[in-house]
Amino acid sequence: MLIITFSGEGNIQLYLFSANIIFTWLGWWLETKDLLTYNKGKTS
Amino acid sequence: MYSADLKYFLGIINSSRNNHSHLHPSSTYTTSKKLISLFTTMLGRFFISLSAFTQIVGPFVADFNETHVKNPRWPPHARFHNGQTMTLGLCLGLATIYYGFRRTTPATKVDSITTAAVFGSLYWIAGLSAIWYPGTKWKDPELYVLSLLFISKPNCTSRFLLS
Repeated sequence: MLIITFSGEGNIQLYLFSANIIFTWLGWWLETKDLLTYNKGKTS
Repeated sequence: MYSADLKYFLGIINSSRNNHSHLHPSSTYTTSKKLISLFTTMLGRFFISLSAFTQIVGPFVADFNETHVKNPRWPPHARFHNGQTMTLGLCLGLATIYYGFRRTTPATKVDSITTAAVFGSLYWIAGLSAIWYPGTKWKDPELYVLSLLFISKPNCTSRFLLS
């Protein structure tokens, strides 16, 4: 059984929440970087 | 996959069939660049979907058990707010999926994905801020064993009994 045992103040939430924020904005960057470059080229 | 994405992908395949790379090396470069662009877009969509899925399922998996909302030691109003948190995660996750996958024009796509990313990160930002409120802790002292997916108390009657 895959278990991580923490002694004392285990704060897996800190890592989980931070990872999800990073995933979300990494996804945003990957999905929009070409569009942003394209729009920038169009306006300049 | 969207029909627009599918048309775009088929366009790439078609152009790669029709190009004559030995005569026009630049067209090969454009095709591979388009494929990389399609791949990064799909990867981006995967990451946003992952965050949305975790928002929808995560709170119910972590909180709908004896450690949180069914905890006999919790006062009713604490359970009420836990219920509010779980439903909020569900709603934000659905909003993330809606804005991440809705049909858009190229002009409004960035706005739509940005809205999806804002909805996709609000729940986690709120979760990180919770530790700064008075009297809060990352977990109750009784919860000293954590699995990767479930938080369980060793002597509780949870489905995920750890003894």
